[in-house]
Amino acid sequence: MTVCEKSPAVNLASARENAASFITSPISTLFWKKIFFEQFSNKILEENKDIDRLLTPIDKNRATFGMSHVDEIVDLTGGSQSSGLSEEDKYYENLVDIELKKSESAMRVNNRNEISISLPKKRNSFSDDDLEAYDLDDTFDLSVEEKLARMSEKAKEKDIKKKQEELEALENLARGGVFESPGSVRNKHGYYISVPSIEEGKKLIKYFLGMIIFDQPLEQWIDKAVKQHCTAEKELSIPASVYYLIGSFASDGDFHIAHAAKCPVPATALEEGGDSLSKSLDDEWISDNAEKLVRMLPGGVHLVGLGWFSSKSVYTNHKNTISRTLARIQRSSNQLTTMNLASVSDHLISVFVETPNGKPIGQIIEVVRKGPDSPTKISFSKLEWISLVSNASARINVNVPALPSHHEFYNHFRAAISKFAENLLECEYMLFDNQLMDKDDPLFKDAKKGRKNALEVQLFIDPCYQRENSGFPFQATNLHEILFDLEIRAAVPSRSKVEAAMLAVKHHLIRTLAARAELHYESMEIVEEPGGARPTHCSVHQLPRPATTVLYGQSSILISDYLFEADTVEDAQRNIDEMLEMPVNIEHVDEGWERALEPQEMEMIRAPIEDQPLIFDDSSDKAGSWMYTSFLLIALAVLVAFVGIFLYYAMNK
Amino acid sequence: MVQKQASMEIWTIDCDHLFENYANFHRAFPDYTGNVCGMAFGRPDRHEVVHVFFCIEDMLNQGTVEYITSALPADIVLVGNVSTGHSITLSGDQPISLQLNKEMLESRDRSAFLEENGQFNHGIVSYSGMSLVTAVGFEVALRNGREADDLRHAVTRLRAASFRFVFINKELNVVLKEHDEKDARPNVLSELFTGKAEVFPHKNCVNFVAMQSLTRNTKDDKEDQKLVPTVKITRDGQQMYKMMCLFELVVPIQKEDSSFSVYSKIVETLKRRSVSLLYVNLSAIKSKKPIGPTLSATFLPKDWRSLLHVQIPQWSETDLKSHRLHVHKLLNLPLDRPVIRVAQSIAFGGKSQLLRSPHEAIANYKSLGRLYLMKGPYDYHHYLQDNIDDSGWGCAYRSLQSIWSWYRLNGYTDEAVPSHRQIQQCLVDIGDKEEKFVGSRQWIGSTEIGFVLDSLLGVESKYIVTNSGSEVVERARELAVHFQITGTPVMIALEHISSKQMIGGNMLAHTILGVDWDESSGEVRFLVLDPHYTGSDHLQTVLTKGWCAWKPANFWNPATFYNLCLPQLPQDTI
Repeated sequence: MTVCEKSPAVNLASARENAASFITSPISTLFWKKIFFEQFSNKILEENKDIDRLLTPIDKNRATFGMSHVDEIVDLTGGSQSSGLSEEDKYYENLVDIELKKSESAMRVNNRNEISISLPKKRNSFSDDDLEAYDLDDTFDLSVEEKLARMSEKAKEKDIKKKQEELEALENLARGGVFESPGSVRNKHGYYISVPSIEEGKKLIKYFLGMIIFDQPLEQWIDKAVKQHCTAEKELSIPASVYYLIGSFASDGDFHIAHAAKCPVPATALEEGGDSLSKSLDDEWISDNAEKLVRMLPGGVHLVGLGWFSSKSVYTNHKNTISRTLARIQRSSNQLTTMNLASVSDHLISVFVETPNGKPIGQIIEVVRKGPDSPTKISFSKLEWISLVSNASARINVNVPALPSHHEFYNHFRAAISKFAENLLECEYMLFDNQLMDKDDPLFKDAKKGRKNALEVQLFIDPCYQRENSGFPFQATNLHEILFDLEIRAAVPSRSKVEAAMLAVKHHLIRTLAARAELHYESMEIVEEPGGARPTHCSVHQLPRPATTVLYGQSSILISDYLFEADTVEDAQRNIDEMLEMPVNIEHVDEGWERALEPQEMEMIRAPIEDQPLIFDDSSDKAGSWMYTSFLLIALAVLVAFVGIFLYYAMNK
Repeated sequence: MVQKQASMEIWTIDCDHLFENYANFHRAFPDYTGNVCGMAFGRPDRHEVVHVFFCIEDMLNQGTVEYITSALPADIVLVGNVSTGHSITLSGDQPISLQLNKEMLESRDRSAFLEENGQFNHGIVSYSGMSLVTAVGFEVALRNGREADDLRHAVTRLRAASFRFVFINKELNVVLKEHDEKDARPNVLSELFTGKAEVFPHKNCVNFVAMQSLTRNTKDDKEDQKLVPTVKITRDGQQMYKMMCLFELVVPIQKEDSSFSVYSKIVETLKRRSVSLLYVNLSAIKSKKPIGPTLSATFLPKDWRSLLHVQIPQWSETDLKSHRLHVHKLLNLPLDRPVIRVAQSIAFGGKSQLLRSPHEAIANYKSLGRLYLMKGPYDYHHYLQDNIDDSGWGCAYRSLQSIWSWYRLNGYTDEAVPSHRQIQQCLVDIGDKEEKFVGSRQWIGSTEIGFVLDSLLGVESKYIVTNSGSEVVERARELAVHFQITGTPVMIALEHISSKQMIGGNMLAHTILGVDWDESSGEVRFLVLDPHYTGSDHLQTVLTKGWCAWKPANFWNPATFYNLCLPQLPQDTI
């Protein structure tokens, strides 16, 4: 059994494509190419060392230069590539003497979950793609020597490209894996992959061997937390103290912790003679509070895990609780941050500190598949985040099914926004300081030079996303029009890759909308619409406004509390203190980002946009709230999503 | 004073195109006796009049101008009025005015035109540059009973919010977004032109991805504070119509264009497509046709020096035909042949697997006499294509496919080219062949080709029956007349031999694309497209090996006889 050894090329898509084109190549093309090949192949093999390097082992009977990877297919289903061959296809196969023994050419998985790749078999043919790769289709006027020179050059390029593809493929396979032995990685699907060396393996799965790095000032926090827990244990018999670890999943696989906030203890536990149940923190309590905390975090900053302070025996007894809690946190975090369209991270961390004298012990916990925990190193270092500054505005129209549920508002909001969120998350373009950047590049190529504290970001959606020429009538039975125009301040570790920064900005937008809708829905239950009373024919809901402050020691990380119309900045100050254990001066809480609508503006929003006057000249002296809203409506004129009857039917199924 | 000097700039105009448009106008309105009006469209920066469109007086209004403008590339605008004795002024001051009269136009008197219009030189209007191609999605909700107003508003709002669109080409690392002219990046796409001797908008294109920006420039906002997000829920049961449209934007670009210029042209193109959509739907509402999205299609009509953009509605064929006729009349397009059928549209970026009109690449051919060629594009169909091994029996099928592609590419049908099996089935269906013919490898001849064209396309054919190959040469005059008037490819087949002979004899069906005929000497050559080619679709091979080439008279075997099938044009073809 060979497992991803010397030639672990596993580019499934290209291999399948090549296989398909190979099988269905027109007879004529293959025929002349075969003749051409027979004339030159021996000469090529003898004279060209570069091509020889590609032929491993060199075998004149094998026409493998630039060979398609048909014999290196990763086919986890074990399916054959040749099923459904027509008579014509078979005829062409015979003509060019194709040898494709599919049972031996695919990569498959055995009953020990080992991935195997059958090495190339004897081959006497080659595909159209092979020769096209060498530009031989257009070289009728070249001499044999020139053709050979060109092939040599192309072979070098192809060799490099192939190696890159191999590495990428192996990375994809190993990603999410854990080291089982020096030469074997178990990937997230449970398959075993052998790796060429320990070093190579480490590189491939680095993300999952990442360290936990606390920002330097948090070194003191551990001592302080230990003392606080010892007191609580002694005075209130509270067995464990839990802290939320706030930070980022860094691009290099490390976990960066910027702040730790204590999970509150239920009030009943603090009362004299409080019940033991309240004192024992359960997963529901911790995760519910975590959700409230996540709402306050900017995109790119997450609740990456839990800090657990207790005796060893309490910790051991609560290991399952920690895992369950992290799983719940991950689910609610995904709901808030990606509308459950993607996972922020399948791995969270726990940091156990044995009281009174223990050192922190880090564990990486795979919360989705409940795989084995991986101990990891903890360090303290000066960490730095950079701010991603942007704004986003849009108008989303969706006619959603009216469900007879008291969760109506929030569920409808989710339904209304999900298509937009999907488009946003899938969009591959974003501008950083007006520049296009490759998602695999670091945000700052030179770690020292040219680094900024903030980058301006422009984010997009695809205007053609799931759109085609179509039209249909529908009825406004439950038409949701979501209007937003908001500022974005996401944050990522300064050594992040562009991809992480893109996600951070997208996550910020979705999270702020989802968080506000959740809060609004919760307030509706209590105050406005008890029992889920139906609103009138047209109702306008104003979502809460943000009040922000920066995180201690990390000025790029902006924390947001959300205030309703009657709430004041003092409320925000108190909430921030309670949730983050972060007392802030009221002057440092900024609630000036947004304001509630004036009555006139409310009327304007209430009226159909089709009836809105179009104002192109906004330099008028009359500029006031009315003008501002008009301008806003024009700016939002292009619908970013309009899902009507499709969604209606889909959700009624 | 400055304006007057500017107006005395010499403009270029193609008088022949002008006269042809007038002739087409006259054919479209043969009984019209009122004032003939006109509009001149051109490129002011180059001082070129690209098109002059004539219309009847009742049609000359702002709507007509807007619709015609929307059908033209973004660098072409209304530049002047046309006066044919009665001065009719279009809105706004136009830099030029053309003085025309009926006699001058009917006699195509170029000298008279130039004498009367000192501001013009006759010349070929430039046609070069590339096309920037992108796609933008656009959605509207129209309230029942208020569709026209809502659509008008939606188009206006789209224009107002067009700054939302950003266009990206990652390979070129070019991002085109709204910006001030002073911040323009010069020659932003010039590298696309490097090393290219000639570039044409219908052939050379660069694709950009359109993105809708969620981020806007907030520097000019009147207020520091934004409004909180709102969720408006409407449950009034209002009946609405949701329309989702995808516009293909084809934007003319030049080497020297700045980023500002390119972006402005993209936005202008978006505006034009939406105006076109609006007019099509307003016309639908007026005539009680269904409203709906339209298909963006781009054409290069014969003798035009610019592309033509039409938004094609999704109507019934009868309504579509009436719409096409209207557009033909509006744009002075000929009424005797289709020009704006979907099959004729330019597929930007969509590379055909087949060779298109390979004879056009024959270089340095020295003619004997006058050339008579078929008119319009076609695809080269030959042996072994489509994974079908028809070597030895399929040449006539292939010739028929090439002829069919001509009808398709020239707008006479939207039907796809039939396969061998479909051709055989057709011959069985009409009773010409027995059932077992389907799936067989039996050959067909010129008569069967005619049957199939008649049955599936409604195209009649004329036949020339000859007794020898040398007689084919004698019928050169008939062929010349056919190419001159009808312009379809001709199929020629060696008849009355067994299939075994066909395979061995190598004298099978061919397609004749033209004749080179010296009337005085009687010498003739035939432009032959040979369907027996079995190689890959490589243009140079096809040309250098003679698979598409001029053949001498002795190409036809004097000892055998041939039948020729001359497909005719269908009637009522717009």
